[in-house]
Amino acid sequence: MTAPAFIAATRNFLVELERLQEILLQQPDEAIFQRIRDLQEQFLQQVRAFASTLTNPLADPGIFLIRKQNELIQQHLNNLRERIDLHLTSDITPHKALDVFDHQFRFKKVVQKHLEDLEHVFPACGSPSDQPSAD
Amino acid sequence: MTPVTFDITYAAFSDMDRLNRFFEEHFVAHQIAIMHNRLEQAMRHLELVFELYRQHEQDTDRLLLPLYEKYVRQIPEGGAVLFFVREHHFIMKRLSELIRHMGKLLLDPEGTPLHRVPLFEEHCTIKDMFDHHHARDRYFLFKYLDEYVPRMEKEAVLPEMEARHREVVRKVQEQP
Repeated sequence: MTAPAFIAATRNFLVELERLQEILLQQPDEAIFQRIRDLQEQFLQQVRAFASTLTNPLADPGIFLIRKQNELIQQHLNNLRERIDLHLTSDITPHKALDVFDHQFRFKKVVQKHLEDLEHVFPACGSPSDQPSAD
Repeated sequence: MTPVTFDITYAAFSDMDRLNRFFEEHFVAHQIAIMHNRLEQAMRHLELVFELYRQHEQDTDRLLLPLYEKYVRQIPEGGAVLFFVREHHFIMKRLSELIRHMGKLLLDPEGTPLHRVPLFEEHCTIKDMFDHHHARDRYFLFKYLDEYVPRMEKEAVLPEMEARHREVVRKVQEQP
């Protein structure tokens, strides 16, 4: 996966996650937990695919930073998956929804920071306002 | 909202850890009430947290920290007085903004859309601040006060605070 493709995937992940979080707060049920889990899994695949392109990280401090953040994000995603799976072993409650929401929020901050750094290390990819419209 | 009873007895400073749990529980109850679109109930829980926190802040400044400074000879780095004051200040500031926002939601529901995600993100930040500050209370302030403050002073201060906290809870619930 190329850097521009991964940056676009990360932006999409954040947008989609926010949409699912809104549903989670209004209708906390097994289905929405599952949708969040699926979204995370999809993002994990993208994060891994991008990691495989970050070869020779010691040659460039920017790539080294991105690589380290990538590892951290993979670890976060594994922990989030375990958390959701644990919640899914019994009835879904508002407390569980809040737990998932809070962990997602902390994770989102990590991803947002990563996105900023990606845009800095791969400036040619541009910010969302530079991207052509999907229409 | 089911009537809330303040059943915490302060026999030791560390019993105030239960007050901190009371804040956390009612804050979560506030969130869950919003999830169920019960905004008035949500406001009641938040008011309870806010008013009691305000009282706790005043008690800490007026009673607890002076005792802490007087009796704890070597205040540890992580338990510096300034941290308690500043963290209370930050928490109160955020709770005040939240009360204001909830007031707007209740008084002008059509003009104030309920954006849940940013609101609950703010909640998460406040809960993280609670968590951080309450750990400092537990491992420094309450612990050292129990260890160093003479019994007579302890017995003078704790029942006074307990009565005041009970009164705050009663007053919030009596509001129409």
